[in-house]
Amino acid sequence: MGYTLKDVCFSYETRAIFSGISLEMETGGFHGVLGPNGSGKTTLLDLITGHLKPENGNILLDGRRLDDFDAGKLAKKCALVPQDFQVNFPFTVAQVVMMGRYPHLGRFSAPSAKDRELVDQAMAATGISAFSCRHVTELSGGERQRVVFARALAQDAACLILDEATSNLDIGHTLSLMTLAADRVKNNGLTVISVMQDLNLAARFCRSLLFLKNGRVAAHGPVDEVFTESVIKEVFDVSSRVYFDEIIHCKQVTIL
Amino acid sequence: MAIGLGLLLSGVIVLSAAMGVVRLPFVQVPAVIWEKLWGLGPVDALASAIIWDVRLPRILTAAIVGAGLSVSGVVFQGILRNPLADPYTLGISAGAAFGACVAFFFNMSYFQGLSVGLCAFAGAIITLAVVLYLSGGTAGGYSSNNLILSGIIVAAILSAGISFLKYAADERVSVIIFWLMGSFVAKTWMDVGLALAFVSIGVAVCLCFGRDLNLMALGDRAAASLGVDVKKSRLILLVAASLMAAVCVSVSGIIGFVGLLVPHMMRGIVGADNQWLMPVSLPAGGVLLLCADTFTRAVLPSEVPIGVLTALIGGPFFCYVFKRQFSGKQRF
Repeated sequence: MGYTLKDVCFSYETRAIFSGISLEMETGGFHGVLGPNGSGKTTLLDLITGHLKPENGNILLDGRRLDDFDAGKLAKKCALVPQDFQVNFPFTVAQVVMMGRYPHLGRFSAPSAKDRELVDQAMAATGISAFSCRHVTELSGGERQRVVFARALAQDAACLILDEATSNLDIGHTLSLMTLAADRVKNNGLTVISVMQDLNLAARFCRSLLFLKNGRVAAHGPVDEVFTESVIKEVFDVSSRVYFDEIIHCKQVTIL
Repeated sequence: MAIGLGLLLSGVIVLSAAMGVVRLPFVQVPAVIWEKLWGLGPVDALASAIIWDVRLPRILTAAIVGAGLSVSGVVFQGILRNPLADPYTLGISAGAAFGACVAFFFNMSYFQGLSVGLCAFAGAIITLAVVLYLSGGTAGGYSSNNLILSGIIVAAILSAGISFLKYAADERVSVIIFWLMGSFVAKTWMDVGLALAFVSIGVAVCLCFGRDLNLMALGDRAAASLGVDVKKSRLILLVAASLMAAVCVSVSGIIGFVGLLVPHMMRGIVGADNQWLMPVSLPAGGVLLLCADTFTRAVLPSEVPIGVLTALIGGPFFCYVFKRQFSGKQRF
């Protein structure tokens, strides 16, 4: 599930977001997307999920143009955990997670035993089985985010796209969900593309990082190469000290 | 559950056909339907005329309109992601009312008295087209906010137009007012046929998109990532639900609260899953509106316009549901 962008342009009405961005994200990696607010992170995700169409240029998924996939086929390949998730109707948690199976079901066919099993597994993995019968309207923000995560897992796609998927979670659940995603990247060949705000979390779990600034690629490559003080200074305009943390065996940063 | 409600609906149809100024034994209703269906000669000509020519068209129209408005309400609430929406939120009713007012104002009487219904239907369709034109086009095409805003603007303009026509209509104003309050008086088999045709097509389309409607509740981004062509599905559902509402209003005038109340009540019983909510709301809406119409026709000493009755009963009931939901547990 590799993505290739070639000279992609996009703008909202008159405000240009991307003017000719090109990059590549290979299959089976854990890709972090970092950048200040308004740098085009969510727009990038909207483009690669096909929610927005580029004005110019091509987006390729596994070497095929994104336009060539119909929405149903794309939904089997690629699952999204969106940033905002507000439901005004009292669906139960289990119903929402089951919605992740809809792309795999015929229009009128009932969920099979396998569908139900995948839903149960997804709920167990995200620790929400205990409240599977509660209404999503009654949940806290963090609980809701885990429900959405479970729904994306149930979708059983080769690519998982996270848009600040852990922004409302406590540190314990954040680590457990990121570990879960990282394990699946390692063991099942899942591709994860994750927009993040927390630099240390990104450095800890991602294998490659993409820094965006004003719709341009500021840096893109393996964590060891691009997670540097000079890149962080350029992108976020803050001074920092990057060091190797011996306890968790990865690079970390302290903002000065 | 849907089947149980369907049986209940048939029961209520038989009961209400026997009730009225002339009381008839309940068993006579299936007997009359039987003899008409097989083209047999009437055993009791008077009872047969009362049931077949007078009561059944009215009863069936009421049931179909109730069913259509309820499913339409479910769909509108789903598309607009707003539990307070109803089939009239986008100004369909205002459009139909304006069309009907124009017909009354010019004293139209073409097509054997069908002109009011036709004008109402045309008004509703034109309104829908204008609302779709206003809310589509941009990046957030047909988004909930765009639709609701366009609907409110168009409805406001149309109500001003209705007020003007009422003001200019002099003595004919009473006809307009009575039509606006809704009524099932003097419905014919043609009304039944028209309503049935549109409502069954609309319901069939909406039932096909039950899952898409569920996904839309998660938001456009999430729905799109789960394989829904959000803009297209929303447009199809919108047109289907609006056509149902438009034909219901054209046949019976403006009957409020059914399309708001029934989806709420049923959501409290079967949950939010639209794949269940729609087939259950269908017979439930039929039962509710038919009971209301039978109440005003056969129980009250003199007939109260059905639109007034549903608002008088439905309004306070809705206040109760609303208060209970949002004060205590967040349940629908």
